[in-house]
Amino acid sequence: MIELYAITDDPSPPDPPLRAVRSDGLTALCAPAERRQLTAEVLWRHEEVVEALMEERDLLPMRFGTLVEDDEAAVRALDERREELKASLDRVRGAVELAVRAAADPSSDGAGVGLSGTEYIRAKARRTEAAGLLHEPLAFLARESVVQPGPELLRAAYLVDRDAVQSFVGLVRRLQATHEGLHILCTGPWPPYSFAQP
Amino acid sequence: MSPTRVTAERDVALVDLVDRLLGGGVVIAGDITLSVADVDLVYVGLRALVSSVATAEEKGVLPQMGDALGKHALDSDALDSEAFGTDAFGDDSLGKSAL
Amino acid sequence: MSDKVLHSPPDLDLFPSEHPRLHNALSRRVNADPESVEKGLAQLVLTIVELLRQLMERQALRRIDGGALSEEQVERLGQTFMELDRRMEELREEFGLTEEDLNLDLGPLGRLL
Repeated sequence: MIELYAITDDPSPPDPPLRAVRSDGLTALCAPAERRQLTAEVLWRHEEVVEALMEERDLLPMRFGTLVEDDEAAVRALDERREELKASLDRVRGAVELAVRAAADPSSDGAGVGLSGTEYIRAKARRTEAAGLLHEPLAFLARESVVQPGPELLRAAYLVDRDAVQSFVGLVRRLQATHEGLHILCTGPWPPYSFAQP
Repeated sequence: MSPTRVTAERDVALVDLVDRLLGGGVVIAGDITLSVADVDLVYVGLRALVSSVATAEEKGVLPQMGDALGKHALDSDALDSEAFGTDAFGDDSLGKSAL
Repeated sequence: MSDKVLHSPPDLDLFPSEHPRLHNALSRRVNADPESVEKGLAQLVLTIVELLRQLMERQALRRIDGGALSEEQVERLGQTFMELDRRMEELREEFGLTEEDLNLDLGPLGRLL
């Protein structure tokens, strides 16, 4: 069994133990599959591999744990979804993913027991508005964005040009300064996991 | 940065890492957690999904949700009876054509 | 691995540092397990309920913003949605599902939530 780490259309060969399995312009970057426990450390190490690859080329990261039988199976995987993969590669070319999560001040959060119905609804409306005030300017700066479900006030992924990452972080800082009741967390750059599927 | 802060930041970034590695990226096998009796449920149309909720309620699979969905608490004029028609979907990403 | 955090608030406790999906994946058994079939059904059903809940909440907020409802109606709506929110959280916990688990991929229609 081999494990797929990422898909790219860049021809440059990866460093061992990674190998390139090629099919007509598309490359699956693979390594022999290993038996592993699923732990945070294993995930971080896998991520390190993908990010090292991303430093040298644009790519689509695979979902963790993508195993195929052999090289032929990898080639089939590429061939079967060739057009989708090419479109996704064009979509993310020259860009990386940044993650943003925002939490409201616990005191201003409408989560207490004994809240009146009206207070609950108003707090909901405020939260929705606050999330929008954060998301809109960030989305404007990004190539693409997706708001994701989660317990936070805002959880979103942004596809940002590689050379616009610093501007984006600068905007996050300014938004944080403007909205004192909100606590913003921004992580990245990540490979474009949230923009890899059509 | 203190060592504790470094660890705390790495821990907090774990949520973003797991979301991406286990929930994102290119998928080859397809999402198999929703396969029931080999029926691919992922591409079932929206109408069928919505009607399956009504069936589940009737069959008592969702015994508590009927009241929580506000059948008694909500006035008929508080919510537009066409809530699931054009009004609700008008500016929604699902689009009118989704129904 | 270089630090992934680009900007963080002073209080990191506001953000969870464990991930239920990792926890679930660690304890997950083979897919043929009847428990996971039941969980798949619960996932499907709860996703629809969550969709309806969000639609109704959005609709209600629109009505409230439009000034069409009395204070009493707003209060009653709020109570109902609060209760519904709580019930959904209980149901999710009962089946070991996260909010992200309820975000079904509808293929050409995109993601549900």
